[in-house]
Amino acid sequence: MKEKLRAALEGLDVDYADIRFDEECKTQITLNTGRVESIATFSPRGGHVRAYAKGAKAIASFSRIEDARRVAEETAAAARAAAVHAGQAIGLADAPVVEEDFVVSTPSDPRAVSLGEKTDLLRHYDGIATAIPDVLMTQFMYDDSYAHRVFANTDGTLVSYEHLISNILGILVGRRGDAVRRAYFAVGGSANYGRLRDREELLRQSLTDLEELLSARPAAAGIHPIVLDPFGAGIFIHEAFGHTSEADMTRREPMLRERLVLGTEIASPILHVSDDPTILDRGGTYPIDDEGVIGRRVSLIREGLVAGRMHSRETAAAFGESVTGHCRASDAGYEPVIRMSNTVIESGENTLDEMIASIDDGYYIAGGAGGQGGIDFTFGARWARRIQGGKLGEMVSDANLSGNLFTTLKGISMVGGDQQLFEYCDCGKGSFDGVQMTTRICAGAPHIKIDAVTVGGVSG
Amino acid sequence: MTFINQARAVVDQAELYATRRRVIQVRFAEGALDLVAHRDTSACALRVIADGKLGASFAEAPSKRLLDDARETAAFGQPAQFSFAPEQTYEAPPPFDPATGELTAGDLIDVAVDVRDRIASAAPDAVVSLVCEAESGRRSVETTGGAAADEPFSRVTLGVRVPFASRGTGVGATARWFSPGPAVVADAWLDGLLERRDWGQAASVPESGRWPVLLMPYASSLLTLTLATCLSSDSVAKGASPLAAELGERILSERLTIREDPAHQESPYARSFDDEGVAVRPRTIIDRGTLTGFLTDLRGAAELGQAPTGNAARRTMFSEKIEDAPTPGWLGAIIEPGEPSWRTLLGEIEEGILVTRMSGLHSSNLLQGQYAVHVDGFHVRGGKPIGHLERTMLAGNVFEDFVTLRGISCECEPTARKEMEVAGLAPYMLLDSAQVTVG
Repeated sequence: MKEKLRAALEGLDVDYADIRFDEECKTQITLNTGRVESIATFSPRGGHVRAYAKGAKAIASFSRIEDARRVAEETAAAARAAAVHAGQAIGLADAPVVEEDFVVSTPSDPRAVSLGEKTDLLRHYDGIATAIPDVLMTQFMYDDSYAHRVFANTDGTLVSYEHLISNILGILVGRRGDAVRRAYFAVGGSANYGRLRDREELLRQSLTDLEELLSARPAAAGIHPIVLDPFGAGIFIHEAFGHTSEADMTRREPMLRERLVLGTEIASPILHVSDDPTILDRGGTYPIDDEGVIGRRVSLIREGLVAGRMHSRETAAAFGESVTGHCRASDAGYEPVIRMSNTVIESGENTLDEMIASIDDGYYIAGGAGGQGGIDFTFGARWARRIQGGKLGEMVSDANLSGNLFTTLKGISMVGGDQQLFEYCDCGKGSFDGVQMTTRICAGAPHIKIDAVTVGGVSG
Repeated sequence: MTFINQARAVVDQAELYATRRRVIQVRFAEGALDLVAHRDTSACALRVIADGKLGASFAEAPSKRLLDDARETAAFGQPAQFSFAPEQTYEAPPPFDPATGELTAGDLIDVAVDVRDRIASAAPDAVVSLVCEAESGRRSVETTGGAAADEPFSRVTLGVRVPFASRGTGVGATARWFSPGPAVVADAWLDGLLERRDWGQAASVPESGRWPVLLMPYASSLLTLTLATCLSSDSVAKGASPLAAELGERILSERLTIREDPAHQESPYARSFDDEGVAVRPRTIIDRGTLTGFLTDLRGAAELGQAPTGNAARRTMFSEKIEDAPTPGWLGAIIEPGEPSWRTLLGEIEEGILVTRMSGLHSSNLLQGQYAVHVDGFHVRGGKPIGHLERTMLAGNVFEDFVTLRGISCECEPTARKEMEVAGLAPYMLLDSAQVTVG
């Protein structure tokens, strides 16, 4: 494979080109209220070429390795032809040449576990959930994915690397009277299948939350101080600041570039945020990205000041900064774009009790049920509790949060010392090729307090 | 021997879904060509019923391994409660223009440059970003039961974004134009885009509270996506949907009639069969506010004891993907127009908002009809847009807010969602009042 890819690039009339070929094996099992709704295996394969010539760029996706040379030549020709209409020349920052094979290792490889054992594990968790009378329906989804990728470029980089991950996501739907509510159970996010076993305690906690949620009233709309739990704070920092720190999101945004100049005050001085693909055994862990650059930790916010951003080789050149190894593609059908890896708020010094005691009328927000990022961000809570008079009160449902990146970051007034990284999480990012949904990431944080957030509750 | 006949020899039933797709895209950023992309890919999904159990596998092409993998998974599958689609007839194929498959990157650059230059002549200060794409190919479904559906598709798509002067390039007026083949972009379409750009040059927000809300056609997904969750045979069969026992009951405003017509010839994603090879037919789902039907796939139809409605799609809420198991959903929701023009409806708003799009709907409790979303659009005062919204959330329940619908416009526009490969038609809809919260 390596020689085929190297040969595909040989002698191309371009300034730079690279080629990647992916061979994957995936398993998906979905159990719907005790019934195996689908069980499937995948063996997709395909390649992707990028060519840069005279400041212009062309890309192509293809299915068969036999087509690699032809596609590379056509893509190079397309880049040369595009140069006539190109604006400012696209540059690439220097990146070290890498020649290495990166092999994944794990104490419990999901590929060695039979379909029957995987299905039985889902049945076990489903049995616990459906034994609860208020549980109306469940969906437990297992997935594992192994990818072997080979990458070559005209600088001389020639590498192979592997990705391996396994997850279980459970959606638990309960009904009591007219109230229908959901709770979630998510474990995995690593190559270690062992992380999926023996998680009954976490599942039972989700079921307890669901039962209380069925009696909960919807949150009231308004602007409130909130305490975010570690999972919610992880989602918050991912959506609110992580996406904005992906340099391709800000490259052509003069206002954002101005506000995100390195050293600019963006948050309260107690906030430190970083993104690190080298944290062991997490969803966003990888040794090298999909343009052949070794992944490294980037400090994004240090003492409230903008400290860095995540780059591709293109954006590193455009910003005059160093490469960070954050350019990843979901699969061969997509161009690599800048993606977060493991994004974390670092631990501070406050306690949860201090945060709750400091709030007269607000909410404790638990978890995240999806969101979207940008200058104005939004995400949904799994559940929330009223905080009144400095005390935690009743649970409420349907608390969706929205805010402005800049005002919200400055409103973080307390950071706890209890950082946790969550396990399973996907991130989608719109790109020229469409939405790349299946890039694995991780986020984490301690509890944090934000002084004012818009809660878009159902009632006024 | 065809692949499906090979499968027939070793399993009880088989269904092969296959796509072949050729895509050329050109992207212009800030008025200059930024990227040329080609994609030439194929993919197939095989489902089998072996020894009465369901299994599946996916790859880029049919092969013995594909069949072996599907048989292996079936050993751990559930007893199948349904059969794959039988032989049937398919009505009008979607509009197809073979010229689309012949388009080159140069042709698309010409389209984009023409639009860029027309915008520049009308608004010399506008910084335009465009994506022009030509997509063509075939999709097919063949089953051992005799279904043999096969049709070509072609689309030329142009997406344009013209930023509001005050918000950088990322926030502004956007629009997406579709055609089955090469065509000239209409002046009226560009005029609408530039009018919205003019409305948004300044920011303005209302006070938080309950206000009239005018939804532009693309924002009608607030209603249709929420309804889809409740109309899905899966949630109906399990009793999770609040609509499970509401057939024949009025659930929305009498002004609302929603038809499902996946073969509608104005849809850029028109199709004559669903992703299980079931022929699609036009049906009325909401008739003047009254619920008249659900959306089913083969499994859901069997569970409900009904005939399948041809609503199976391999997709999630965010994207179409062949690996996704078929689930029921809209393939071509058409909200019937009303009488007044949208400008008349806009003129009725003394204080309120005009919503162009929303984000975060997937975080809402859709099974109960609830929504809480961040919205883009315009602050309306005295019947006129006076600035673009910022930090604005819209929240409520469709089974309350769409009962007191104040008006529906006579104009309908396509509501294509490219990432989900689905399109419908929708008018502007004026909600009497909904909760607007401004941060």
